[in-house]
Amino acid sequence: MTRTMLAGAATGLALGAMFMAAAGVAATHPAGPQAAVRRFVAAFNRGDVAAEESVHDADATIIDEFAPHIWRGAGAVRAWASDLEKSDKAAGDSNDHLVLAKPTRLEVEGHAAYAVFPATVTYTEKGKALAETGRMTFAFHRAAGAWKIAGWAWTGGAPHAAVTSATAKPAPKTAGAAKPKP
Amino acid sequence: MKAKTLTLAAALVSGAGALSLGVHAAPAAKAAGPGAVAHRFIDDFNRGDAAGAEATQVADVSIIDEVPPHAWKGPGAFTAWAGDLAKASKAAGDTDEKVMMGRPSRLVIEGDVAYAVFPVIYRYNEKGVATVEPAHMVYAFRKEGGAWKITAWTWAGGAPHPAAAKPAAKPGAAPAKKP
Repeated sequence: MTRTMLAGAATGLALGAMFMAAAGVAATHPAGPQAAVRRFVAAFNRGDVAAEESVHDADATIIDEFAPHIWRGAGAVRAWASDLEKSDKAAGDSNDHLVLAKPTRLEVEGHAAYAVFPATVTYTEKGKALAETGRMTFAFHRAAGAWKIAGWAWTGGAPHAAVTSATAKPAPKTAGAAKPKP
Repeated sequence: MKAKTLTLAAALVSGAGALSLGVHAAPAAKAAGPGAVAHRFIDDFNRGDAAGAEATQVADVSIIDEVPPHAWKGPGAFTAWAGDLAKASKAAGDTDEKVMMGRPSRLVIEGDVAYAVFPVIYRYNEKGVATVEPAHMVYAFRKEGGAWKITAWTWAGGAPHPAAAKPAAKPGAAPAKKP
Protein backbone atom coordinates (compact mmCIF):
# COMPACT_ATOMS: atom_id res chain seq x y z
CA MET A 1 0.00 0.00 0.00
CA THR A 2 1.17 3.47 -0.72
CA ARG A 3 -0.70 5.87 1.32
CA THR A 4 -0.29 8.51 3.79
CA MET A 5 -1.06 9.18 7.25
CA LEU A 6 -3.42 6.80 8.78
CA ALA A 7 -5.87 9.65 9.27
CA GLY A 8 -9.59 10.29 9.02
CA ALA A 9 -11.68 8.82 11.78
CA ALA A 10 -15.03 9.54 10.19
CA THR A 11 -14.05 8.16 6.83
CA GLY A 12 -12.58 5.17 8.56
CA LEU A 13 -15.93 4.31 10.02
CA ALA A 14 -17.53 4.72 6.63
CA LEU A 15 -14.96 2.48 5.03
CA GLY A 16 -15.41 -0.04 7.77
CA ALA A 17 -19.07 -0.15 6.96
CA MET A 18 -18.31 -0.45 3.26
CA PHE A 19 -15.97 -3.29 3.92
CA MET A 20 -18.48 -5.10 6.06
CA ALA A 21 -21.12 -4.70 3.41
CA ALA A 22 -18.81 -5.82 0.65
CA ALA A 23 -17.38 -8.75 2.48
CA GLY A 24 -20.73 -9.88 3.80
CA VAL A 25 -19.06 -12.11 6.31
CA ALA A 26 -19.83 -10.56 9.66
CA ALA A 27 -23.13 -12.27 10.15
CA THR A 28 -21.96 -15.76 9.33
CA HIS A 29 -18.42 -15.72 10.69
CA PRO A 30 -18.22 -12.99 13.32
CA ALA A 31 -15.00 -14.35 14.75
CA GLY A 32 -13.48 -15.89 11.62
CA PRO A 33 -10.27 -14.82 9.96
CA GLN A 34 -12.14 -12.24 7.88
CA ALA A 35 -13.13 -10.50 11.09
CA ALA A 36 -9.45 -9.90 11.84
CA VAL A 37 -9.05 -8.34 8.40
CA ARG A 38 -12.13 -6.22 8.90
CA ARG A 39 -10.75 -4.91 12.19
CA PHE A 40 -7.40 -4.24 10.56
CA VAL A 41 -8.96 -2.23 7.74
CA ALA A 42 -11.13 -0.24 10.13
CA ALA A 43 -8.12 0.49 12.34
CA PHE A 44 -6.03 1.50 9.34
CA ASN A 45 -8.67 3.87 8.09
CA ARG A 46 -9.02 5.60 11.43
CA GLY A 47 -5.27 5.77 12.01
CA ASP A 48 -5.28 3.52 15.07
CA VAL A 49 -1.88 1.82 14.99
CA ALA A 50 -2.42 0.10 18.34
CA ALA A 51 -5.59 -1.52 17.02
CA GLU A 52 -3.79 -2.54 13.84
CA GLU A 53 -1.10 -4.16 15.93
CA SER A 54 -3.62 -5.96 18.11
CA VAL A 55 -4.97 -8.03 15.21
CA HIS A 56 -1.50 -9.25 14.17
CA ASP A 57 0.71 -11.93 15.64
CA ALA A 58 3.55 -10.48 17.69
CA ASP A 59 6.01 -11.60 15.02
CA ALA A 60 3.96 -10.85 11.92
CA THR A 61 5.46 -10.46 8.46
CA ILE A 62 4.45 -7.63 6.13
CA ILE A 63 5.39 -7.09 2.47
CA ASP A 64 4.50 -3.71 1.01
CA GLU A 65 5.48 -1.60 -1.97
CA PHE A 66 7.43 1.12 -0.15
CA ALA A 67 10.91 0.70 1.30
CA PRO A 68 12.22 -1.34 2.98
CA HIS A 69 9.36 -3.57 1.67
CA ILE A 70 9.65 -6.19 4.40
CA TRP A 71 8.88 -5.92 8.12
CA ARG A 72 8.91 -8.84 10.49
CA GLY A 73 9.34 -9.81 14.09
CA ALA A 74 8.45 -7.88 17.20
CA GLY A 75 7.39 -4.34 16.38
CA ALA A 76 6.86 -5.07 12.69
CA VAL A 77 3.44 -3.43 12.51
CA ARG A 78 4.59 -0.22 14.20
CA ALA A 79 7.72 -0.08 12.05
CA TRP A 80 5.63 -0.58 8.92
CA ALA A 81 3.18 2.15 9.98
CA SER A 82 6.04 4.53 10.66
CA ASP A 83 7.70 3.83 7.31
CA LEU A 84 4.35 4.23 5.58
CA GLU A 85 3.91 7.65 7.12
CA LYS A 86 7.39 8.68 6.04
CA SER A 87 6.85 7.38 2.53
CA ASP A 88 3.54 9.15 2.16
CA LYS A 89 4.93 12.38 3.56
CA ALA A 90 7.77 12.28 1.05
CA ALA A 91 5.33 11.64 -1.80
CA GLY A 92 2.85 14.28 -0.65
CA ASP A 93 0.04 11.78 -0.13
CA SER A 94 -2.99 12.31 2.08
CA ASN A 95 -6.63 11.26 2.53
CA ASP A 96 -5.97 7.58 2.08
CA HIS A 97 -8.91 5.22 1.96
CA LEU A 98 -8.65 1.44 1.83
CA VAL A 99 -11.53 -0.77 0.77
CA LEU A 100 -11.47 -4.53 0.44
CA ALA A 101 -14.04 -6.55 -1.48
CA LYS A 102 -15.12 -10.10 -0.80
CA PRO A 103 -12.24 -12.55 -0.66
CA THR A 104 -11.51 -14.30 -3.93
CA ARG A 105 -9.79 -17.07 -2.00
CA LEU A 106 -10.42 -18.24 1.53
CA GLU A 107 -8.84 -21.40 2.90
CA VAL A 108 -9.38 -22.37 6.52
CA GLU A 109 -7.75 -25.49 7.93
CA GLY A 110 -8.01 -25.86 11.68
CA HIS A 111 -5.89 -23.17 13.24
CA ALA A 112 -4.48 -21.80 10.01
CA ALA A 113 -6.09 -19.81 7.23
CA TYR A 114 -5.27 -17.95 4.02
CA ALA A 115 -7.24 -15.34 2.12
CA VAL A 116 -6.88 -13.05 -0.89
CA PHE A 117 -8.95 -9.88 -1.12
CA PRO A 118 -9.28 -7.47 -4.04
CA ALA A 119 -8.28 -4.08 -2.66
CA THR A 120 -8.54 -0.47 -3.69
CA VAL A 121 -6.76 2.41 -2.07
CA THR A 122 -7.66 5.96 -2.99
CA TYR A 123 -5.61 8.96 -1.94
CA THR A 124 -4.62 12.45 -2.88
CA GLU A 125 -1.09 13.05 -4.14
CA LYS A 126 -0.10 16.69 -4.31
CA GLY A 127 -3.71 17.62 -4.87
CA LYS A 128 -4.45 14.96 -7.46
CA ALA A 129 -6.92 12.19 -6.67
CA LEU A 130 -5.34 8.81 -7.34
CA ALA A 131 -6.40 5.21 -6.98
CA GLU A 132 -4.48 1.98 -6.88
CA THR A 133 -6.16 -1.35 -7.28
CA GLY A 134 -4.43 -4.46 -6.07
CA ARG A 135 -4.81 -7.42 -3.79
CA MET A 136 -4.08 -8.15 -0.18
CA THR A 137 -3.04 -11.67 0.69
CA PHE A 138 -3.23 -12.76 4.32
CA ALA A 139 -2.04 -15.71 6.36
CA PHE A 140 -3.77 -16.26 9.70
CA HIS A 141 -3.28 -18.33 12.72
CA ARG A 142 -5.65 -18.97 15.58
CA ALA A 143 -4.37 -18.89 19.13
CA ALA A 144 -6.38 -18.94 22.34
CA GLY A 145 -9.56 -18.96 20.26
CA ALA A 146 -8.79 -15.77 18.36
CA TRP A 147 -7.70 -15.39 14.76
CA LYS A 148 -4.63 -13.23 14.25
CA ILE A 149 -2.90 -12.08 11.10
CA ALA A 150 0.39 -13.94 10.78
CA GLY A 151 1.41 -12.02 7.70
CA TRP A 152 0.18 -10.14 4.68
CA ALA A 153 1.38 -8.79 1.36
CA TRP A 154 0.20 -5.93 -0.81
CA THR A 155 0.07 -6.84 -4.49
CA GLY A 156 0.19 -3.39 -5.95
CA GLY A 157 -0.97 -2.28 -9.34
CA ALA A 158 -0.09 0.92 -11.13
CA PRO A 159 -1.55 4.03 -9.49
CA HIS A 160 -3.88 5.94 -11.79
CA ALA A 161 -6.13 8.95 -11.68
CA ALA A 162 -9.15 8.28 -9.53
CA VAL A 163 -12.51 8.38 -11.26
CA THR A 164 -14.88 10.53 -9.26
CA SER A 165 -18.56 11.13 -9.77
CA ALA A 166 -17.69 14.48 -11.31
CA THR A 167 -15.35 13.01 -13.89
CA ALA A 168 -16.82 9.59 -14.49
CA LYS A 169 -18.38 8.98 -17.84
CA PRO A 170 -21.94 7.76 -17.69
CA ALA A 171 -22.21 4.04 -18.11
CA PRO A 172 -23.62 2.89 -21.42
CA LYS A 173 -27.27 2.03 -21.09
CA THR A 174 -26.62 -1.48 -22.22
CA ALA A 175 -23.78 -2.10 -19.78
CA GLY A 176 -24.49 -5.09 -17.64
CA ALA A 177 -27.77 -5.77 -19.34
CA ALA A 178 -28.68 -9.38 -19.79
CA LYS A 179 -28.29 -10.71 -23.27
CA PRO A 180 -31.54 -11.41 -25.07
CA LYS A 181 -32.56 -14.98 -24.79
CA PRO A 182 -32.44 -16.84 -28.05
CA MET B 1 2.01 -21.92 -4.64
CA LYS B 2 0.10 -25.09 -4.53
CA ALA B 3 2.67 -26.91 -6.51
CA LYS B 4 4.01 -30.26 -5.66
CA THR B 5 7.46 -30.87 -4.35
CA LEU B 6 10.50 -29.65 -6.16
CA THR B 7 10.66 -32.66 -8.40
CA LEU B 8 9.17 -31.48 -11.64
CA ALA B 9 10.13 -32.92 -14.97
CA ALA B 10 12.82 -31.43 -17.12
CA ALA B 11 10.16 -30.86 -19.73
CA LEU B 12 8.88 -27.99 -17.64
CA VAL B 13 12.14 -26.18 -17.99
CA SER B 14 11.66 -25.42 -21.63
CA GLY B 15 8.22 -23.90 -21.13
CA ALA B 16 9.11 -21.84 -18.11
CA GLY B 17 12.40 -20.85 -19.60
CA ALA B 18 10.80 -19.65 -22.79
CA LEU B 19 8.31 -17.57 -20.89
CA SER B 20 11.03 -15.92 -18.91
CA LEU B 21 12.98 -14.91 -21.97
CA GLY B 22 11.44 -11.49 -21.88
CA VAL B 23 13.10 -10.79 -18.58
CA HIS B 24 16.32 -12.60 -19.31
CA ALA B 25 16.63 -10.72 -22.56
CA ALA B 26 16.87 -7.48 -20.61
CA PRO B 27 20.12 -5.51 -20.90
CA ALA B 28 23.14 -7.10 -19.27
CA ALA B 29 23.14 -4.49 -16.53
CA LYS B 30 19.82 -5.84 -15.33
CA ALA B 31 20.68 -9.50 -15.74
CA ALA B 32 21.60 -9.79 -12.07
CA GLY B 33 18.76 -7.59 -10.83
CA PRO B 34 15.95 -8.61 -8.51
CA GLY B 35 13.72 -9.66 -11.40
CA ALA B 36 16.34 -12.10 -12.61
CA VAL B 37 16.63 -13.59 -9.11
CA ALA B 38 12.88 -14.18 -8.98
CA HIS B 39 13.05 -15.94 -12.34
CA ARG B 40 15.95 -18.09 -11.17
CA PHE B 41 13.83 -19.15 -8.22
CA ILE B 42 10.97 -20.23 -10.48
CA ASP B 43 13.28 -21.87 -13.01
CA ASP B 44 14.97 -23.85 -10.23
CA PHE B 45 11.63 -24.75 -8.74
CA ASN B 46 10.36 -25.99 -12.09
CA ARG B 47 13.37 -28.21 -12.65
CA GLY B 48 13.29 -29.59 -9.12
CA ASP B 49 16.49 -27.93 -7.96
CA ALA B 50 15.64 -27.30 -4.32
CA ALA B 51 19.16 -26.18 -3.42
CA GLY B 52 19.22 -23.74 -6.31
CA ALA B 53 15.81 -22.37 -5.39
CA GLU B 54 16.80 -21.95 -1.76
CA ALA B 55 20.01 -20.18 -2.77
CA THR B 56 17.97 -17.34 -4.26
CA GLN B 57 16.56 -16.53 -0.82
CA VAL B 58 17.97 -15.20 2.43
CA ALA B 59 18.45 -17.72 5.22
CA ASP B 60 15.54 -16.32 7.21
CA VAL B 61 13.12 -15.83 4.33
CA SER B 62 9.42 -15.23 5.04
CA ILE B 63 6.85 -17.03 2.88
CA ILE B 64 3.06 -16.82 2.59
CA ASP B 65 1.44 -19.49 0.44
CA GLU B 66 -1.95 -21.09 -0.09
CA VAL B 67 -1.00 -24.42 1.45
CA PRO B 68 -1.21 -24.81 5.22
CA PRO B 69 0.11 -23.57 7.55
CA HIS B 70 0.31 -20.65 5.07
CA ALA B 71 3.15 -18.77 6.80
CA TRP B 72 6.80 -19.76 7.21
CA LYS B 73 9.54 -17.56 8.57
CA GLY B 74 13.02 -17.66 10.00
CA PRO B 75 15.86 -20.16 9.55
CA GLY B 76 14.61 -23.33 7.88
CA ALA B 77 11.51 -21.61 6.48
CA PHE B 78 12.25 -22.58 2.90
CA THR B 79 12.79 -26.25 3.70
CA ALA B 80 9.68 -26.35 5.88
CA TRP B 81 7.62 -24.71 3.13
CA ALA B 82 8.88 -27.21 0.54
CA GLY B 83 7.97 -30.08 2.84
CA ASP B 84 4.48 -28.75 3.51
CA LEU B 85 3.99 -28.10 -0.18
CA ALA B 86 4.87 -31.69 -1.00
CA LYS B 87 2.42 -32.97 1.61
CA ALA B 88 -0.41 -30.77 0.36
CA SER B 89 0.14 -31.72 -3.25
CA LYS B 90 0.26 -35.41 -2.44
CA ALA B 91 -2.95 -35.15 -0.44
CA ALA B 92 -4.69 -33.33 -3.31
CA GLY B 93 -3.43 -35.75 -5.97
CA ASP B 94 -1.59 -33.09 -7.93
CA THR B 95 1.02 -33.89 -10.57
CA ASP B 96 2.79 -32.28 -13.49
CA GLU B 97 2.96 -28.85 -11.91
CA LYS B 98 4.32 -25.96 -13.89
CA VAL B 99 4.68 -22.33 -12.80
CA MET B 100 5.00 -19.80 -15.61
CA MET B 101 6.02 -16.33 -14.54
CA GLY B 102 5.90 -13.32 -16.80
CA ARG B 103 7.55 -9.94 -16.65
CA PRO B 104 6.95 -7.90 -13.52
CA SER B 105 3.84 -5.75 -13.52
CA ARG B 106 5.45 -3.72 -10.75
CA LEU B 107 9.15 -3.32 -9.95
CA VAL B 108 10.40 -0.85 -7.37
CA ILE B 109 14.12 -0.61 -6.57
CA GLU B 110 15.54 1.77 -3.97
CA GLY B 111 19.21 1.24 -3.27
CA ASP B 112 19.69 -2.15 -1.69
CA VAL B 113 16.02 -3.09 -1.38
CA ALA B 114 13.37 -3.88 -3.96
CA TYR B 115 9.76 -5.01 -4.44
CA ALA B 116 8.17 -6.71 -7.41
CA VAL B 117 4.85 -8.17 -8.51
CA PHE B 118 4.75 -10.82 -11.23
CA PRO B 119 1.72 -12.33 -12.95
CA VAL B 120 1.94 -16.10 -12.92
CA ILE B 121 0.03 -19.08 -14.20
CA TYR B 122 0.12 -22.34 -12.37
CA ARG B 123 -0.79 -25.43 -14.39
CA TYR B 124 -1.12 -28.91 -12.94
CA ASN B 125 -3.16 -32.07 -13.07
CA GLU B 126 -5.39 -32.73 -10.12
CA LYS B 127 -6.52 -36.33 -10.03
CA GLY B 128 -6.07 -36.40 -13.78
CA VAL B 129 -7.90 -33.16 -14.50
CA ALA B 130 -5.82 -30.43 -16.15
CA THR B 131 -6.16 -27.42 -13.86
CA VAL B 132 -5.10 -23.80 -14.16
CA GLU B 133 -4.66 -21.19 -11.48
CA PRO B 134 -3.91 -17.60 -12.43
CA ALA B 135 -2.16 -15.76 -9.63
CA HIS B 136 0.45 -13.19 -8.71
CA MET B 137 3.71 -13.52 -6.84
CA VAL B 138 4.88 -10.66 -4.68
CA TYR B 139 8.54 -10.41 -3.72
CA ALA B 140 10.70 -8.32 -1.41
CA PHE B 141 14.44 -8.31 -2.09
CA ARG B 142 17.64 -7.17 -0.41
CA LYS B 143 21.13 -6.90 -1.81
CA GLU B 144 23.65 -8.92 0.19
CA GLY B 145 27.32 -8.87 -0.68
CA GLY B 146 26.50 -7.34 -4.04
CA ALA B 147 23.90 -9.98 -4.94
CA TRP B 148 20.13 -9.67 -4.80
CA LYS B 149 18.32 -12.15 -2.58
CA ILE B 150 14.64 -12.76 -1.94
CA THR B 151 13.80 -11.74 1.62
CA ALA B 152 10.11 -12.64 1.41
CA TRP B 153 7.52 -13.76 -1.11
CA THR B 154 3.81 -14.35 -1.24
CA TRP B 155 1.59 -16.36 -3.54
CA ALA B 156 -1.60 -14.37 -4.19
CA GLY B 157 -3.67 -17.21 -5.55
CA GLY B 158 -6.61 -16.98 -7.87
CA ALA B 159 -9.39 -19.51 -8.27
CA PRO B 160 -8.20 -22.82 -9.74
CA HIS B 161 -10.38 -24.08 -12.56
CA PRO B 162 -10.29 -26.89 -15.09
CA ALA B 163 -8.04 -25.90 -17.97
CA ALA B 164 -10.79 -26.69 -20.46
CA ALA B 165 -13.39 -24.60 -18.64
CA LYS B 166 -12.28 -21.40 -20.27
CA PRO B 167 -11.02 -20.78 -23.78
CA ALA B 168 -7.31 -20.35 -24.08
CA ALA B 169 -6.24 -16.77 -23.49
CA LYS B 170 -5.18 -14.79 -26.51
CA PRO B 171 -1.42 -14.56 -26.74
CA GLY B 172 -1.51 -10.87 -25.94
CA ALA B 173 -3.39 -11.52 -22.74
CA ALA B 174 -0.99 -14.09 -21.34
CA PRO B 175 0.93 -12.96 -18.26
CA ALA B 176 4.20 -13.53 -20.05
CA LYS B 177 3.24 -10.77 -22.45
CA LYS B 178 2.55 -8.25 -19.75
CA PRO B 179 5.04 -5.45 -19.39
